[in-house]
Amino acid sequence: MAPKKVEPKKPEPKKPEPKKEEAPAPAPVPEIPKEPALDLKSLPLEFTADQIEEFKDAFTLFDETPTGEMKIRYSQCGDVMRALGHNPTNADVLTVLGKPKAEDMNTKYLDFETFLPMLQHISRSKDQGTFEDFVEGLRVFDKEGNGTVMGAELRHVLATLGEKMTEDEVDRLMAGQEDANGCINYTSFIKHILSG
Amino acid sequence: MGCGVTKNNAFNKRYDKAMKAAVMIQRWYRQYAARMEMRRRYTWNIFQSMEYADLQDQIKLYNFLGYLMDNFTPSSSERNLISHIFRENEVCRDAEWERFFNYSNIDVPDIYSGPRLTFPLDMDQAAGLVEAFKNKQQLHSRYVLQLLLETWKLLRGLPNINRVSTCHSKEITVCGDLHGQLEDLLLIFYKNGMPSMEKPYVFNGDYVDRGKDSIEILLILFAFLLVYPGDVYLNRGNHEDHIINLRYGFTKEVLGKYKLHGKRILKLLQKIFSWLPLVTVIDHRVLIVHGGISDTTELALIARVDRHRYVSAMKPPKKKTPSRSSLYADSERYDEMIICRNRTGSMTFPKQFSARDSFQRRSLQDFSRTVARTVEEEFEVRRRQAQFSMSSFSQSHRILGSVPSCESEPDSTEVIDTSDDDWKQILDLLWSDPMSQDGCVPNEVRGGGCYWGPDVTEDFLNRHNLQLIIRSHECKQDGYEFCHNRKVLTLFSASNYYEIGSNRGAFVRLGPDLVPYFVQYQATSMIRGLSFPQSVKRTEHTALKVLREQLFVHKSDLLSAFQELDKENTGLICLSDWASAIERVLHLDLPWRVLHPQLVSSTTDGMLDYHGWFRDLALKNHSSEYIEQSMLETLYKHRSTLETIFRIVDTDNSGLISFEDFRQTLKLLSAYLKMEISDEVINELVISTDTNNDGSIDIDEFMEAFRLVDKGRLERGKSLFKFKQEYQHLPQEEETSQTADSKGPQISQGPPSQTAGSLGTHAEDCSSSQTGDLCDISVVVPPQ
Repeated sequence: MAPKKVEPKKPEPKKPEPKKEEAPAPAPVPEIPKEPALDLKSLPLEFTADQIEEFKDAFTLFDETPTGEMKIRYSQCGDVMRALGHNPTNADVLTVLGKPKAEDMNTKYLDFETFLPMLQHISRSKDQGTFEDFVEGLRVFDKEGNGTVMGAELRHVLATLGEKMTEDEVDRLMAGQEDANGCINYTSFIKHILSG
Repeated sequence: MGCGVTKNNAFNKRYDKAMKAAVMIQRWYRQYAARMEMRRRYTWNIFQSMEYADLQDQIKLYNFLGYLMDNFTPSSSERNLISHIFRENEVCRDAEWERFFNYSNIDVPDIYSGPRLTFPLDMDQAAGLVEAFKNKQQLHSRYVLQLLLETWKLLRGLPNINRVSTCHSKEITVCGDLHGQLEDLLLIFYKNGMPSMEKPYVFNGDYVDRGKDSIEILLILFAFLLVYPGDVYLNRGNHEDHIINLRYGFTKEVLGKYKLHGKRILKLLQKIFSWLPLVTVIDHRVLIVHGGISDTTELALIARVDRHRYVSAMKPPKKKTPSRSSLYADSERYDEMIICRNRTGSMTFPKQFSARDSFQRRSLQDFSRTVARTVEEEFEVRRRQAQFSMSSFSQSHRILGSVPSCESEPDSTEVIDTSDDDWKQILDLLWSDPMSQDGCVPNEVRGGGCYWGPDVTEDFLNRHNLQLIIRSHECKQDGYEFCHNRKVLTLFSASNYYEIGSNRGAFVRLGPDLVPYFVQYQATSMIRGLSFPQSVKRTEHTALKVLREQLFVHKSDLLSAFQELDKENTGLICLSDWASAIERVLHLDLPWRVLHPQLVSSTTDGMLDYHGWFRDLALKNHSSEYIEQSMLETLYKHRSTLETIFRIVDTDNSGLISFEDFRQTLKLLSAYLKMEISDEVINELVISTDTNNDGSIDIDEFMEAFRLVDKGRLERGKSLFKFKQEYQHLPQEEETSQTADSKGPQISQGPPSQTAGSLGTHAEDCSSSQTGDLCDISVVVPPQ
């Protein structure tokens, strides 16, 4: 059954003009292309009613308001989307939230109606990364070409490049993966992480 | 420029790749973490709703007892059983009790290597006791009785309200529920130091039940109480109640550990529990109470009650009416009826709740539909009971048999109402829970106490000039949680309460500034070596297993709900219907659509073959054809009621009941459930469980048959056991085959008897893949 076209409310807060990107990180990192202002209002929702019910269930799981108002904090938005099987980067999430200020992340809330179009937008990008992609990626760090990477190096990379992970997150990810020499066999590492 | 540019390009390319790899992994990781978080959350929800379901079991028991009182016939055999259940309470004066609890003729053999206590106790002995229990020693019953007697004497002199002060710059440590989990108490002492004059402690009730070291916890706390009476404060919890103990494991623990003197120990504890103070107040500013408050809670009244008359939540004190005085044998029976009458009140308060709160606040109406009675029938029953209680004493008295002659009480003819009010005050203190809406309504989930709102907190604090309420009674994932604008703090000190990894425990320290300082912990001996995702998965696995059990128990209702939706009888329903049907039947307010991949192994085109699904949950009945599926399901559903009745009936606490009592109990239960249970079936059950061949049934063995055995967990348990053996310093937590009144299905560690040896005939091997973790569930009914 086709869902009614939902008129999404204006997402809170008001969408600011896209901020100019800060001075690009030192070369040779390529500049992140500036995106046009995100217009979620015009997005038609393509989810089925069943799917929406399922999203609601997941959304409710993360609702921590004492009276169950069906609201989550901005900082939880990414988690809920990921829990539903999507894979946005942190930057994607911030964009879809309207590039809020850092202090807003823990103080502002969004409700389910506002969340849905954001989820819709995120669900469009389908690049999840295959097993081969991961292997290719990690091979970069395989100095000796023997199928292993140095755990320490991987930790360093994950904590300093891209969307940096915290030490805790890295620990959790790598728990039990390094052998006595601190090396990781990355094909089995990837198999392990992809098996959930 | 040639060389440099090429090098730069190559470098850039590699850098790009590295970046991409990093971003990919990071992105993947965050998704993984979010999914883990979701699983952790719904696992928690499952446990909480299971606890709710378990509480409903308790209400089932009350209802069944009510039914018994209402419907027994005067045939001689049933009369005996019922008088068994409602046997008279002995009445003696304190001096006579002291003689009964006399320990001095109990000899301690030379080979006993545990602590030998001398009184008065001192700090070294208390610390020695802690050390002994840490080393799995057991205190000899002589010393147990002696220690308990001293405790009883001390408690009798304490007021209802403990008053503590943080002067002299003392920091006071407050602990919540411990529930027999000795490891947590040891962890608290390790982190915080043992009680002393410099380190005062308040313990907020629920020391016993569920965990396996309840008696040890009590002995430690009482020992410190005796050594530092001015610095150790104990509040009573709702589990400091001998009837609750019957259901939740403490009684069984004591009788198991103290085979000869267990009964005496329990009787003495019954008195001690009733003498525990009700609340503690720090600096006239902070109230510490186990459950909470209601809109009628008044400390001035609390201070005046005779707290020791309130032995059990199931038994209000006797009223002073003349009609009662000569019918003393009936007192327990009368008390039971009063309970039921009082509980009519809660059934007249159905309330509309938001979806979020709904599972917490089911009215008894919803519940009783899943039991075989409608609300109207319930009301009818209660009305009849009320009439019965007021008018037909002589009749009941004749039927129940002889009555000892007692002097009539010298009091007046009026019913003194204060005992009712007092009782309500105490129930409210020990059983209430906070809610987010304003107001105060009866607590139908627990069957006693109320739910109180932020306005009630505000009013209460103002009236009494207090600033904070610290309470326990509810498990919190992080060990503590504020509510009501940070005016109410829930503190829970039993970590891993539902399952390993389910929650942390916490304690709080308050200095003269009364600013709380929290310490959280989690007893980790079992999860050392398990990574975080592994422990989430373990916990989730247990939660799902328990959930499947609930689904199984409601199979017939679910089947009708599905068939209602499947009008064309295709045997298929869509997932959305599946989810809403389950929610309608179970009322657990769980995210079924999120859970479905864990509960449903396969669908075609989004449609579920529900008969096939039920086959996955089905009983595998290996014994006779006499006992049919639905019968077993029903018995399974009411197994905890059955077991509690068995234990009540087992008056000499031997663990055995006679054929006849067993038979009658089943007959009564089946009549109550409006379910036919023929004599053949009963005989079948009896024969299959009477392994002693001596005409008596071993209660434990019978309940064994009603465990749901999960082979996958058995395997995992075995490998974990092996894992433990490699780490000698881990406490040897035996997974005993606890009976069904504990948290949920447990595994059995080794066959207790010949019948269990034939366990191998059930359940196929479970695959170990994630969704394939649906293990076959079967009830093991021993073969003929």
